[in-house]
Amino acid sequence: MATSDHGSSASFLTTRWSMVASLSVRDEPRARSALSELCEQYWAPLYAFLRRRGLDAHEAADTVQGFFARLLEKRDFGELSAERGRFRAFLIAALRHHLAHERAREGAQKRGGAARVVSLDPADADSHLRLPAAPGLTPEQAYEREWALSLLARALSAVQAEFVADGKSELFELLRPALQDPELAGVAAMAARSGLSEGAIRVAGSRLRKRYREVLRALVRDTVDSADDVDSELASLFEALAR
Amino acid sequence: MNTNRACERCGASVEATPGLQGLCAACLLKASLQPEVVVTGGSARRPAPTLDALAPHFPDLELLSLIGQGGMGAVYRVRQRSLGREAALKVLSLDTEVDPAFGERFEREARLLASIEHPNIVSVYGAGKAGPHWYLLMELVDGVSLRQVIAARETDPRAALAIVGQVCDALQAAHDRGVVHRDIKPENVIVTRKGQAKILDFGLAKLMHREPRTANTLTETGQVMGTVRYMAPEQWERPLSVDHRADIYSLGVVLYELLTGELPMGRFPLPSQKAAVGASVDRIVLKTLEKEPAQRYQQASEVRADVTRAAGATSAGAQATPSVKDSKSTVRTLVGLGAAALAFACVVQVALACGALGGEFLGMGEFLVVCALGVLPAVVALGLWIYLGRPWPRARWAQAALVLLPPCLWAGSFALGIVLHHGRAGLKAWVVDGLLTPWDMLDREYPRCPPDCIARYSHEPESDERAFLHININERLVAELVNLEPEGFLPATLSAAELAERKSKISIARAATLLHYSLLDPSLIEVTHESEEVVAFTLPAFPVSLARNELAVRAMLAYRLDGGTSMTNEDVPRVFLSPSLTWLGTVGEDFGNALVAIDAASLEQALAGHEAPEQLEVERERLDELFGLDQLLEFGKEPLKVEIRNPLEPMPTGTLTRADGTVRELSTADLNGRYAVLLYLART
Repeated sequence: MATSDHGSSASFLTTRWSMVASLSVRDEPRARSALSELCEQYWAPLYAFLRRRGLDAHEAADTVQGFFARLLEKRDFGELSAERGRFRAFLIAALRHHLAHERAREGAQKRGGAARVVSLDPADADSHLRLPAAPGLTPEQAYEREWALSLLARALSAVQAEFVADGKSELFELLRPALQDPELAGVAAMAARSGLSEGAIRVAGSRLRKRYREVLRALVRDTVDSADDVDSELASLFEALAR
Repeated sequence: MNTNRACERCGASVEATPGLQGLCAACLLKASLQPEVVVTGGSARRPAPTLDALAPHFPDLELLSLIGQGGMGAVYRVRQRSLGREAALKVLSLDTEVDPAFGERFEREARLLASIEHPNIVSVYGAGKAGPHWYLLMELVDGVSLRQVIAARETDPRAALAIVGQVCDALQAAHDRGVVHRDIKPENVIVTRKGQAKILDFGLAKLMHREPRTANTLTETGQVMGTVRYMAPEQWERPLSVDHRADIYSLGVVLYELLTGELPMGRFPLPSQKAAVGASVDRIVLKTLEKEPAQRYQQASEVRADVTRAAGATSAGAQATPSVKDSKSTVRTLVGLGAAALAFACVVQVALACGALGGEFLGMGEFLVVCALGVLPAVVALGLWIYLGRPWPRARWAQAALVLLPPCLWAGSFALGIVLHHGRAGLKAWVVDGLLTPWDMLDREYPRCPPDCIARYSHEPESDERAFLHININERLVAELVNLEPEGFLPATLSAAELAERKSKISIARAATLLHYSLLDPSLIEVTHESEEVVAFTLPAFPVSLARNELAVRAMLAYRLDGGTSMTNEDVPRVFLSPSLTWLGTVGEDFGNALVAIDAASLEQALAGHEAPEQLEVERERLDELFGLDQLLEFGKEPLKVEIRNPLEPMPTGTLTRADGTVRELSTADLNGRYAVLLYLART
């Protein structure tokens, strides 16, 4: 996944909703870049959803591409976005809308211009998606799970990018386990390896976690209607992962 | 990087997601949900007002100490100077600016809270605003929160179930008043030293949540997340549609945590896998944690009932804390009991009707009316009972008992009615013969009658052995049967008149054959005309064992003979025997066998030059051949054996019922020197 877009936290201020809104503007370059960003970020969950719905790798990739292309070309999701709510819900609703539309014009010619918007290799996406994802997952659950994973990954790469920008990529590598282990079980080994004191590592680890949490919450905040919803959205994501 | 491995921390398989750099997604997210203890150290929390700062605003209270501080505010131990009692003062931590409507809402909620009096709910003494502080004055409870109980891991399942049972009582009482807690969690349940559970902060969650400026929701991530984990799914998905069932979900989370020390996240293990509880507790937990409110328990009282039952099963000696129900639930219980009693009464009514039917005090029509009058209220009462949430029993045996009770009661009552009316024999006859021979009042067809016949069969109430048969036969049927007689059957030596008579009568015999009955002693038949078309034949008394054999046709034959009015014993030889045979009567008590006599000349003639035997057993074919006894055998029932005896030989022991109805011992004197022909029709 590309990380350069998230070199600074400022880029998070672009909400998903504003990205969608920009699609409605006849400002071709801006819309184009917004779309490709959307596409990059939400490719995996949508793809997972479609695969779970029984589409094969090519159909699924094709459909996701067509979906984003339609977002750009037709900009006819106004009635969906009007209600706002969670971006996660909006996107899946829009995809469903798209699927229904596709089915309605079954037999018509293929969508135009899909390839120029997205260039992800379906085979690659599929290998990424070859998850142990429990066979019992519904398409919606697979979607939510992928959504959670991609959010976590984006937050991670954003934080990493910050460390790299500050020239502390080695420190990030060292502290990375602290992200998932608040108790820092391996702190002694880490101290030995780095030459830092255990206390210093604990403090740095908790700072890293704090930063990661901020970034993650900011990302989530981008996808929900109000700041009040961040916690429940996080809880939903946790549930999606725990399945 | 793409290989799957198990996470060392949570055991879940680590997703081979490139962006996660080998970290476990679940642990990563979980760690980022936890409050950062090291860094923030709880400093995000607004400091609680000091005792000195509060004192001027609460002149009636003696502020003793700060008990604790939570998301909602700070709690102080105080003494009410006027009453001299200790109480707990909760000062809500609100931002300074609150919207004007808050005060009104707060007071309304506080009044509602104060109106709930329940031993398992912390009482609210008062509420209001003092200076800048919104406060609640509450009962001071000396105990520990369930959170501490869970942390200490010192609850056994029985105690956990007892606590949850009390919480159910409290919730039911509040729900009955329309108050939803919305924030049931271990922190909000206090357990006193005596083991009494008390719920805190009823309705506060709603109050605080409505207030957009009441801060803390965002800054105190840990606090809010902690609460979120006890929230029902609809609480964050459709906050506006939350009702009391959200509390039931939260209660399920608390129960699970009490039992296992863990939260039921994701695909969680069942309580029975982690604690010494049975599957019934698993069912309770799963039902409370249903995602859809409609799938959950609908009332806390239902949880209470199941929890109590499970506690009983968990330990026989378990003593659930006595629950104090409020008046409303008492009314529900009374109405439920009333409905159950009504349903039972209706069952009894139908049972009594069954008894009356069995005893023939009611006809079928009346019986059906009484049943309908009984069943309708029973259905209504049962519906009411179920509507009121009286649970259907879980145990299989109890379910089976409930279902089987009414039919058993009805059948038993019916049987009792028969016994009272007909005696034990009547019941036996009904059970043994009733399946084949219909009870007369049921007007069912006698099974071996042709379709146009109606035979009614009954037993003599006073006797084990006598039965009655009442037969109606359609004349047209008789005519049809008579016409079945084939031509050329009769001997050619008869005169035309004799032939006509014989033909008519033999046709009757033929009909009897067709009907699979034999004619033995028609003298017992009483014949009456019930209408122009239908003639009734009544056999006043005959052995029960014969009921399934000959009777219908005896009656029919009796009808047809002599112009269709009656038939005497003399008619039998006239109609059914060749002229050379003399009818003497039936042998034995049950008309099973017959004795006829044949003179020596006829026998010799029949034997065509053979010497007359002293005693002869003849097979059926041979008998026909020898004696031309076809007509005799037209009784329909083939003899098991035919014995021809020399008149000089002594007769076997037995009784003879003669044509005139007299009964005597079998004796050669009756033969008048003729040979005896014994037809063993029923037994040898």
